[in-house]
Amino acid sequence: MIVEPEQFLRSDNADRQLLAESLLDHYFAAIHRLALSILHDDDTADDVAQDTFILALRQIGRYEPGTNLRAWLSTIAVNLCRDRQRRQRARSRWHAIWGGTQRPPDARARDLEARHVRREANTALWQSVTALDEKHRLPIILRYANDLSIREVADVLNIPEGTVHSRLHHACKKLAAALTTTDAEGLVLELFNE
Amino acid sequence: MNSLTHEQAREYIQQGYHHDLEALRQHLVTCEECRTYASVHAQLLRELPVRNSRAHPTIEQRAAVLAAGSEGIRLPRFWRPLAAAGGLAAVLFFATALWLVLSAANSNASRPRLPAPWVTLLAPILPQPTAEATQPAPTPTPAGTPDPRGRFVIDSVPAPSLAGNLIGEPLEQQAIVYLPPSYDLSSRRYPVVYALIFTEITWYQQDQMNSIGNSVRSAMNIALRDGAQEMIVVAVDSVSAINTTHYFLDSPVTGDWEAYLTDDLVGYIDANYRTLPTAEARGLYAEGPHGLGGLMAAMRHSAIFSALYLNNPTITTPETAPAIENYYMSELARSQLSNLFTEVSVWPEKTAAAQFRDKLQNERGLTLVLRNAVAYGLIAAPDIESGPPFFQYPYAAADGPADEAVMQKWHEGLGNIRERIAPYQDALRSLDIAIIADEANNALGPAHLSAQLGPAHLSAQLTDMGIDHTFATRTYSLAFSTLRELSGYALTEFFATSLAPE
Repeated sequence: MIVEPEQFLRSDNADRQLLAESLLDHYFAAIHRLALSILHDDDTADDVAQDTFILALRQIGRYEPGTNLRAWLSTIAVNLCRDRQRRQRARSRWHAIWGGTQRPPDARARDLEARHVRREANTALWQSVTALDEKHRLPIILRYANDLSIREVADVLNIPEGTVHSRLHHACKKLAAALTTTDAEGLVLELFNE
Repeated sequence: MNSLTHEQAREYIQQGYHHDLEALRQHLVTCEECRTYASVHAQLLRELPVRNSRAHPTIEQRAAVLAAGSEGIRLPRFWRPLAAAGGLAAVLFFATALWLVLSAANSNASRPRLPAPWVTLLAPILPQPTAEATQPAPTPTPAGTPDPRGRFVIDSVPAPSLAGNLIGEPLEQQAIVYLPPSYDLSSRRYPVVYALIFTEITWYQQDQMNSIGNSVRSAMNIALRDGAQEMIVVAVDSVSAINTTHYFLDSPVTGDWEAYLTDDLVGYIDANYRTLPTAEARGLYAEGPHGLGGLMAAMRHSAIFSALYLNNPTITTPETAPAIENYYMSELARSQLSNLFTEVSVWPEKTAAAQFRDKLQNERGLTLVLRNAVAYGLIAAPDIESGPPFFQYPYAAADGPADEAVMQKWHEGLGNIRERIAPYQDALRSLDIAIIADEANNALGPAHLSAQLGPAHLSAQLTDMGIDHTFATRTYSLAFSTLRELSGYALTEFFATSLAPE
C-alpha cells in the first residue's frame, strides 16, 4: 500500500522523512530512467537521481501542490543532467588542450554509453537520437524514452506545447533517414492498437 | 476528401485520439510527410524506452535522500549571503591553519614562526616539536580476503513442488543467500532466516535480486553492529513467471509455493550451505502480501520453523471489504478485467494458456492494478476448469451487476483467519511469533487504516485462542520498510534471540 506524496504535501505538518520515502517510492524509477536516457551512464544517472530528490526536498516549498509532481521532479533532473553534460564537455576541452597520458575523463563514460547503446534493441535508433542537437534530442527522449505526455514535456522544458510539437516534428524528420517506413494502414493499426 | 491539416494529423498521432480514425487514415495515405512522422513516432514508441534503468534506489541513495528529508528548515533567503560569507571565512581560517600545521610538521628546521595569536589559537592541534610523524602506511588488503560485510550469492534452487502449475513457473527458482562475515573464515554452522520479502514487480529481475541482496546484507550488517548473532538469510524470489506476486500460498494455478518453501528450498539450503538443520535454528520472516503464506507455512510445518515474524501481513477481514472493492473493483479495474476476459475468450483452446502466459509475461502496457487483480484473483477465486485467466471475477461486464458468490470469495481471499488457524493451535503455541502493524495515522487516509486491521485481527484471534505472541505497531506508515524492520527488530532482537546458535 503506497501513500501518494501529494497527500504529504497538502498536509501542513507533514513528516519530511515520510515525504522523502514517498517521493522515492513513487518517482525514483522514473527519474533514474530519465537520467539514464539522457546521460547513458549508470553511475552518473545514479548520482543525478539521488541529487534530484535531495534538491527537491530542499526546494519543496517551491512546488505548487496540485500541479504535476513528476514533471517538477523531471525538470530538476533534466537541469542536473544538463549541468553534468556541461561539466563533462568542459573536462573534455581541458583534456584536449593539455593532453597527457591519462585517458580523457569522459572516455569511461563513452565506453559505458557504447555498452548501454549496445544493450538497447535498436542501436541505430539510439545513435540517431544521440546525434540530435539538445533542442531536439530532449523532447524525443522525454516523450518516447520516458513516456511523458506532450503537456508534461512542455512543463519539464518550460516551453509551450506547440513548440514541443514543432520540435518533435523536426526531430522525427531528422530521424526518418535512419528508420524504416511502413504502410499507412499498418501505422494506424499500430498507433491505435486496433 | 482529406479533412485534416498536417498539424491536426500530428496532434492526433501524438495524443492517440481514437476518434476520426478514418480521417487520419486518409491523411496518412495522401501525405508522405505525415506518414514519415507517424512511422518514426511508432518506431520510437516501440523501441526507445529504456530497459535497464534502476527500479529502486540503492540503500545508500535512500539513506542520502532520507538524510536530506530530515534536514531542518533552511535559512530565510536574506540570511543566506551572510551565512555564505561566514562559511567562506571559516574555510579560509581552516585552510590557513592546515597550511601552518603541515608546514610545521614537515620541517622542524625551517618551521615558520607563527604569530602569537595563531600559536595560542592552534596550540591544541599543533604537533610537538619533538614528535615525528610515524604513522604506518596502511597494509594493503590481500587479494581474496573475505568481504567484511559478508557476501550474498544468487543461487538456483530446484523446485519440483511447482510442477503442474499453469502459468509456466519454472522448476528452478532463484534465491538470494546472504552469508555472514565469518562464513568463509570458519567451518561453523549458522541459523537461517528465510525472508519472504515483498518487492515491486520489475522487468529487471537481476537488478531486483541484487537490490534485495544488498538490502539484506545492509540489514544484517546493522544488526551485527547492534550485537545480533551471525545468521544466514535466504531471501526468496517473490515475483511469479507472469510478473505478479504469488503470495507463497498453495494454488492449483500458480503452484504449491508452500511446499517449495518448506521442502525444496529448506532442503536445498541445508544440503548446500553450512546451516544448523534444525527447527530451533530456522526462522521465517514474511511481509505484506506474503504474510498469510508465511503464517500457513510456519504453522503447518512447525517441525521446520520455530520462529515467525510477520511484518504488516496482508489479511482480509470483514472490515477490509471496502478496501478490496475500492481497489480490485474500481471502475478502472472492472474495465480492464472485462477487456482481459473478453480477449482470452476468443483465443483457441489449445493455445489459450500459452497466450495468457505470454501476455502477462511480456506485455508492458498492462497496468499494475490489472496485474495485482490477476494475482489476487488466482489466489482468492481460482478456476482451472474455465481455462485462462484461471480465476473468477465478480463482474462479468464492467458495468454489470456483481456475482455475490464470487464477490464473497474475493472478500475472503486472504481472510477466514480463525478457520485457517484453528486446526493448528498446538503448532502455533510451539512458535515464537511476532506480528507488526502500522500505527493508525489519520493523515494517510482510509485505505491505509483498513490495511492496519488485518494484523490486529490476526493478533486478536491468537489472543482469543490463548496463543502467546508479540504484537507491535510502528509509526513508519509507508506500508512497511523491509530494511528498517529487518535491521531494527527482526534480525537484531527477534531472530537473534529466538534462534538457537551453534
